[in-house]
Amino acid sequence: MAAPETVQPMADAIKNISSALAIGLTGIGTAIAQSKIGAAAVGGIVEKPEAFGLIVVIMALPELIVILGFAVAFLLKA
Amino acid sequence: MIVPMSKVQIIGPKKHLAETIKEIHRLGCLHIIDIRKEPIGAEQFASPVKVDPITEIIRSRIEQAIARLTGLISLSLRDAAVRYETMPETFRLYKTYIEKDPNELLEIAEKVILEVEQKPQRLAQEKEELEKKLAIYQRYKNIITKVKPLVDKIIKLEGYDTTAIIVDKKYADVINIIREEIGRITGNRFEVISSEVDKDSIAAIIVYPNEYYEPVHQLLWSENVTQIKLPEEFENYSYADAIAVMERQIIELPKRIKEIDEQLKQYSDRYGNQLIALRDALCDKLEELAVVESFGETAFTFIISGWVPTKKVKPLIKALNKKFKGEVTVVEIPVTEEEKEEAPVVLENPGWAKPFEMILGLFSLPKYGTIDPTPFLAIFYPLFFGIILGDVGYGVVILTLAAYVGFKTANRAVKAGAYMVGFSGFMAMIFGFLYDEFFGFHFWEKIGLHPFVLDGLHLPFERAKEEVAIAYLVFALGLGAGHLLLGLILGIINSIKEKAVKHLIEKVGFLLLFVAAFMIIGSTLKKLPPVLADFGWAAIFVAMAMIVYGGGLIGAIHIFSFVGHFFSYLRIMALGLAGVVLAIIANSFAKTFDNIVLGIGIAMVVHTLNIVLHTFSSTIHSIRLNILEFFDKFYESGGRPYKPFTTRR
Repeated sequence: MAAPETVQPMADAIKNISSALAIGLTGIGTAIAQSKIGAAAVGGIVEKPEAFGLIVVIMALPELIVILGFAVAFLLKA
Repeated sequence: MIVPMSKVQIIGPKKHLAETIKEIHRLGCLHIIDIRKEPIGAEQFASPVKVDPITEIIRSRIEQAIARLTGLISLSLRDAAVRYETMPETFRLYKTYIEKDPNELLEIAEKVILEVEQKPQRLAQEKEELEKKLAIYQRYKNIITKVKPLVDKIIKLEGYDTTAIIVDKKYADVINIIREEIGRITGNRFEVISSEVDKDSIAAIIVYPNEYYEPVHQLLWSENVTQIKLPEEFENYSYADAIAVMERQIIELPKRIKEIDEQLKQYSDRYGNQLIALRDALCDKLEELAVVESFGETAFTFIISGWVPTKKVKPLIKALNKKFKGEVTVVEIPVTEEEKEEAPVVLENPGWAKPFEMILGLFSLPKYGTIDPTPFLAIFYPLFFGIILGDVGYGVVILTLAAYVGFKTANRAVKAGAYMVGFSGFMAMIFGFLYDEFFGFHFWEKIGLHPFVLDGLHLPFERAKEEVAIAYLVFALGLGAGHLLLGLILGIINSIKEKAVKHLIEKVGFLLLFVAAFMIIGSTLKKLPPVLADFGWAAIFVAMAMIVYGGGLIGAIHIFSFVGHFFSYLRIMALGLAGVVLAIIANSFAKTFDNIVLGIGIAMVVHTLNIVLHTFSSTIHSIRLNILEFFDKFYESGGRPYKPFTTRR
């Protein structure tokens, strides 16, 4: 069994890596979703400029993913 | 607020139809219902007004006159729109013209057109040609300037021709080939002078007896050499003469163009107001003639049907009574709930909230009879913006810039935008005080103040501090809970207003779910009595049953989206932290560099970048939280815009 003084740094390291993964992976997920929406949005705005406002809001939709990732990362760190 | 509307019918004898149309056009408050599209109620016995052939002819003449006037206005008045708004003379003329009947107005218009049309049109044509010529000369000038030093060296000889060529420097050898070949063709009666004109090209002038014109040109063509050809009008000119003429023209033409502009301006000063007033009066007359087909008629009467803001019904009745001595009557028609949905929507908000209608304008209008969300948008949009940005320094910058733009511009939309951004900047200042932030520094210390405690809350709270961050997170979620709760309450009010029972049950279900979750979390955290947790669990089941009953399968799905919406408010904290961290990084630059000026310079660049990025993201996310999360709880879109039948002035 490992000595307690080595367990704590290991636990901290795992927490840090987990936090990084939580925010990093959700960030990538959001980026993929937004890139697809973005491409469609440009087409949409060209066809229907009056829908600009709605489209900008839809563009911001996938950000919830990274925000939840941030919340998880934050709770892990806290 | 959505302005209450009344449905009215204006009924009168046919002899007053034209005058009635003129009067309602002048009053400008009636949103006309086209009888051909909505033949309801009393209109069933009335058929659409038939337009006689003479009116058709007048309409077509008016259309032609409008087209010609529009052409003339664009010829002489490029800034027509601006002048129109600022010239009282236009309005005076317009008022005179609009009083005339269509035939009389047409006669005036046609006379003015004849008087004005010829000269400005000729001038405009001349100007267009001169501008084209000038562009061509300027293009040629660049090329010819390159070969001019060579041309200067040539002595003009009788019976000799000159051709200029440009060769890419990479293919400089081709000049030797040409020299050999032309020597062969002309029996060495030629001269080639070449010189570098810039770093990429060499120009050459070939002088040869004009009887060899054909074979020399064939040779140049077969060698694929770029010959410098003069414009057609200079075909018989030598290069030297052509350059001289072109240079003279390049100086002369702009003078003539300026003269034409002056003359056109004189025309616009003399006729501009009249042309615009005539065009607008004719456009209004055309509308009056065209709208007739939307009305109904019986053998002796006409019926005009439409919507009027309720507060304007009495003035409308009064105006028509005064004009027609009671012969034309206005009847207010009681409307059913279904018909109410057809009422057009016009928003009326106090000055502080009005600019925010612009954000709503990006989406569909609210349905008639529901709640106008503009005042809520006017409160929560700047509030969220301020909470996210929260920096006294940033707030001051944004407020100053917005105030500058707002006072400078005459454009209403830009003014409204500046007001919204300025108001948001002000909120950022307020929250900057609460967060103790001034360009990322501690603000209170700088001005010699010390934090104080208000009901257990330490003010200011430094949101960048790790121990405060959790409180900041709870604050963001709490704010979200309050916002969503308000949305649900508004949703309940909307359902009651619309008498939509199932909707109401669904909304109450969500409200119960919300309260139940609050009870369970409160009890778990030991902030509320434990017994409330049991009540909470029971309430959750009841709430779910209500939601599924009221909203069906979609209602059940909404439960999950509701949770998502709640956590979505975390972005307030996330974006706020990101912004403050960037500001702190900007300040740390100033400390890291030995050269303090360089450090401050870089810090300012990063701060500027942060202000731009943060303002943009705060705006988008504040709008999003309102439109997506908040509106989803109550907003019913699909309102038809109110388009009153009104004159241009």
